[in-house]
Amino acid sequence: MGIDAPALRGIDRSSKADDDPDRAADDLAPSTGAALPAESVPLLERLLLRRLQRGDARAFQELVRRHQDRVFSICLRMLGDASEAEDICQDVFLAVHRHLPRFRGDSRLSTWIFRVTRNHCLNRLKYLERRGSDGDAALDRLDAGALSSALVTAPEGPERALLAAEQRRLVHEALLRLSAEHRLLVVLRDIEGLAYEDIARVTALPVGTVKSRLHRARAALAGQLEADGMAPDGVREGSR
Amino acid sequence: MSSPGRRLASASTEDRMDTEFREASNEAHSGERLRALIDRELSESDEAQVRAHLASCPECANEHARLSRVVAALGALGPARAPEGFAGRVLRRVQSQRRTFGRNAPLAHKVPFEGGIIVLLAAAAAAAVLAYGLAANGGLQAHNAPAASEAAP
Repeated sequence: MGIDAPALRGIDRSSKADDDPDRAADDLAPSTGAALPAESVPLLERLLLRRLQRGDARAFQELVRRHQDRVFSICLRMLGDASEAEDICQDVFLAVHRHLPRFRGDSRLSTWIFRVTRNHCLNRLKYLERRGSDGDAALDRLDAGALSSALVTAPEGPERALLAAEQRRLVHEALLRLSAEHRLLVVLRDIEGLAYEDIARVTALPVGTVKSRLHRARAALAGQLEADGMAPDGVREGSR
Repeated sequence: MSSPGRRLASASTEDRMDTEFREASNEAHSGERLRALIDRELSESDEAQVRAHLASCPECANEHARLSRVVAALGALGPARAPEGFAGRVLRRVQSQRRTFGRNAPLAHKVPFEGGIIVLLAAAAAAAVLAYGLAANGGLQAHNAPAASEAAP
C-alpha cells in the first residue's frame, strides 16, 4: 500500500525549531497560547507538580500511570506500530522526568506532556524519513495483532467484533497515509478529544489554523478511505 | 469548500489555504461552517441557517455527510492502552539513569543510534591514526637513535 511523499511532509516546518524533542520543556509559552492563570490549573495537579518538583518518586509514578494511556495512544496513532510507540512513549516520560524541575507550570501538565509527545513523534518520523523509510514502513510495521490488543474495544458479538476490527484497521491504515501534521491534528481532536485551545498549545499553531487544517485533514482522510474503496462509515463500496 | 482528499503542496500553499478558509467562513459554502457544525460549535440560529443551506445544496450536504462519517469512524477507533507493565519499565529506566548519571541523565535519544555509531567510528579512526603516528614516530626515533649514538664521540 503506497504512501505519497506528503505522508511525512509537514514535519519539517512544524518541528524545525523542535529538533530536540525535549525542546517542549523549554518552550512552555507557545506564541499561540497564553499562559494559563494559576487558578485554572486544578489544585490536585498543582499539588502533584509540587511533589514532582521535589523529586518525589511516587509522584512521578502517579504521573506516568495517569498519562500513560493517552501518551501511548497518541504515539501508536502517529507511528502505527505498538512496539515503536512504546519506545517513544518511554522516551517521552524520561524527557518529562528530566525537565520537570524546569517546568514553570504555566500550562496544564497534560498539555505540556502532549507537546513533548508531539515533538518525540515528529522527530521519530523525521528520523525514519531521513533513514529512507517512507510511510510504507509504518504500514509494514503495522502489527494487526498487537494493535488490536492495544485497543480498547467494546464488547460485541464475534461477527460484529470482526467487522468492527477490520474497519478500525482500515481507518488506522488510512490515518497513517496522512501527512504527519494532519495526522497529529486528527489524532488530538477526533481520537483523543482535546479542545481546540489545547491543540493550539500542543502544536504551537493559532486556533484558527488548527481548525482549517483539521478540516482539510478530515477531508484528506475521507479521500483516503474512498480511494481504498471504503466509505468513511466503514462499509466497503459495492457491499452495500 | 475544500475538495476531498486534497494534498498539501507546500508550507506556503497551506498558509494560503488557512487564510482562504478563515476569510470564507461567512460564505454559504464555507468549510469552516461545516466544521463548526460537525464540532457542534454553532449557536442554534447559525446551526439552523447552515442546515437550511445543506437542504438546498447537495454538494455541501454530501461533504457534510462524508466528514461526519470520518469523524465518527475516528471516534470508533477507540482509545489505546499502554502495554502491561509499562509504568514499571519507565520507572526502571529512570532509576537506572539516575544511578548512572544523576538527575540530569542524558537520554538515549539525545544521541541517536546512528549518531553514536558515527561518533564511535570517528573516535576509533582518530585513535588508529594517533597510534599509527606514534608508532611511525617511535620507529623513526628508533631508526635515528643508533645513528645518533654512532655520531657521538
